[in-house]
Amino acid sequence: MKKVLIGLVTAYLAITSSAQANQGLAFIHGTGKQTDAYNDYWTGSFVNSVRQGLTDSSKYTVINCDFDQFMWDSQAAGCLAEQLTSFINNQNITQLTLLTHSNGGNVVRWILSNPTYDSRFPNIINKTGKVIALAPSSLGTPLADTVKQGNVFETSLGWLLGYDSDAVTQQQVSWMAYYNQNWLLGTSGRPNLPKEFKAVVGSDVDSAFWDGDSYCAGYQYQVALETTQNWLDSCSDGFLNCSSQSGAGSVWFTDKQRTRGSEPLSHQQSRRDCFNLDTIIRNDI
Amino acid sequence: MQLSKFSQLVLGALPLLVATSVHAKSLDKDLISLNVPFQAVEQHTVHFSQAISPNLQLATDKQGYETQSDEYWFEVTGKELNEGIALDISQPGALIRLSGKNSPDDILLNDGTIDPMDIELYQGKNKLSSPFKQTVSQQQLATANIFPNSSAVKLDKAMGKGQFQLRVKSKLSSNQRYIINVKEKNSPHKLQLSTERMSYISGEQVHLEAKFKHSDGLIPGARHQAFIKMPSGEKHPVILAETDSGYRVNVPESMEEQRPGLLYELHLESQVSDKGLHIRRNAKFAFALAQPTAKMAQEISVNPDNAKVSLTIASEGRYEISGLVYGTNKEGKSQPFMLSRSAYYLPAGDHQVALEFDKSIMASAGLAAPYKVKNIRLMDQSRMALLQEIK
Repeated sequence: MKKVLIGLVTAYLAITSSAQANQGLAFIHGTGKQTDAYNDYWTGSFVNSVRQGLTDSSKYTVINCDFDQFMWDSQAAGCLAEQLTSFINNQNITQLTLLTHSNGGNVVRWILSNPTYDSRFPNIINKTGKVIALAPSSLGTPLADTVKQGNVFETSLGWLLGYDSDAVTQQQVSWMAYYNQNWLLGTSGRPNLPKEFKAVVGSDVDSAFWDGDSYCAGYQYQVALETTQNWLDSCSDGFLNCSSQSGAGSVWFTDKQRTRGSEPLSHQQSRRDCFNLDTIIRNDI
Repeated sequence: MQLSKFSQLVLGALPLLVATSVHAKSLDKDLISLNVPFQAVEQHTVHFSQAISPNLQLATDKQGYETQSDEYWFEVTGKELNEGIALDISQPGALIRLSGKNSPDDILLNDGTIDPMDIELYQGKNKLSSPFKQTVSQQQLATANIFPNSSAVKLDKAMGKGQFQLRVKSKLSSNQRYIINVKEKNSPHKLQLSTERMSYISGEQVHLEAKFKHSDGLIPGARHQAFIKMPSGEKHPVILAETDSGYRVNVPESMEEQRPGLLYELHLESQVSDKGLHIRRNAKFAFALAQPTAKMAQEISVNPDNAKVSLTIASEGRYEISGLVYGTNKEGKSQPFMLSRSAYYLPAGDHQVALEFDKSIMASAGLAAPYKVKNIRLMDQSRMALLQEIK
């Protein structure tokens, strides 16, 4: 009975503390140079659904930076730090949730892992409550290596990875292994990140033409996926292996464990309001 | 509270652009004096400490890398594709990707994409009928947003293994270049490439191991060719010097100033014969080559609030000292509880700097003196280089 009471008191204090904190939410896109990520990367229906989880749903920001650069670049982590600092200061945010997708998780991990690199970083880390990392490319992807074969694609690449992109170079598997060993925290054998970094893992791609669900921001043609699947594990979101998505921090859940109808989340779907993903995140903020 | 008082003092400050300068001489014969990097570098001193998990299982050995390849790739011209190129297939059902390569001025000559319906396969002089189980056009591949200017064919498993000739029957621009990538997923033949570490100081040799493996075991008689891709993208063939456990490679010195954080790549092009089958594989790994711009003395004095570290700086820049702080538990055992780091912008010369601890983390850890600092690292943040680590 005593334990139950202590538990209730602790829960009450946690809720009270959370309510007193000035919550904020930042949507942090993946690879690519964004100028209107609200519309072009996330879509309003996803952003506006997720932000309802805030005490004050107006306290959110959608980041627009150049994540075609290496994660440490002033146009990547530097730009992110600038926009987060402005948001924190202007809105008096004391408890920030960072919602990242794909390579956005690496840029955030750069800030969390290198607090002395930039004098703006410590305050951001201090104000951050947790990071929800949607399909983070923590260990890179073999597709980035394939794209770089023979230097052939250094100047041409699909939008998913970005065009002529340092971010593609960075997300090659052995490059990420080096950065994880030396510059980033949170992977196996390295100290933990200073704040919780919990990943949502996309484990499969459903693209059967008779299944309407597969068209929720999904792929249309099985044949292209079958081709890219040659470089990926059986567990992947069509772009990243599950091992990469779960390679840093902790795994919050793997798509089918929580999504409506146990639908998988492809790499495109994990940034959209598909299969209740928006509601699941909203309820966690 | 994970932020030290020192950190609080510098919040809101913006990085400053540092003017380029050259130091005329090195202060230490082992060190090198480099220009100040041209990009913006933080100038303020910043200290930060964080609690670390009591369950931390640190990978204390030098961390290496291992990869296994079941694919190979090479470059050909449109003329060669029209005449026919040799392909070694060791796995039934292999995928062949053909990708038009952009010219240096970023132009794809004459729409260099190949229609997979124009691809023919020969064995000897015999043109094979229906050799592909699947063809993937440029338009279809583009929907996956990964491979532009590319098409692919997947061999019918009935075609088996061995040497084939692939020919494109439609006229291609003679000088247009293509990457041919043969991917043999689930092949039992794999090239295993590994290195014992990914971080080197200039002048050190890179060590690697390369083995051809079959599910039955090692395949002897492999032939390897290696080159190093510099951070600039230049390709330098290198000689593989055999050692007891693998090979050593000298890394070419770059004359150009490198962009911070970029890595070198060691590429291996390998082949072996196994029971009459010719097997080709490519593999690579990235590694960092740091210039010795500074060093720290081995003796570190640990105080209740900080650790004092002596640095010799040869190249002006921003340097970070980090270390895992250990305290003593009630059983008298030493255990890690905090990761502390301090970064300073320093001119060339000898300096003693403090690795500051966070008192609030120390107080809440429930550990007592004596404190120790281990895994002390010196990083050149300006040039993104790991310079030294004291275990």
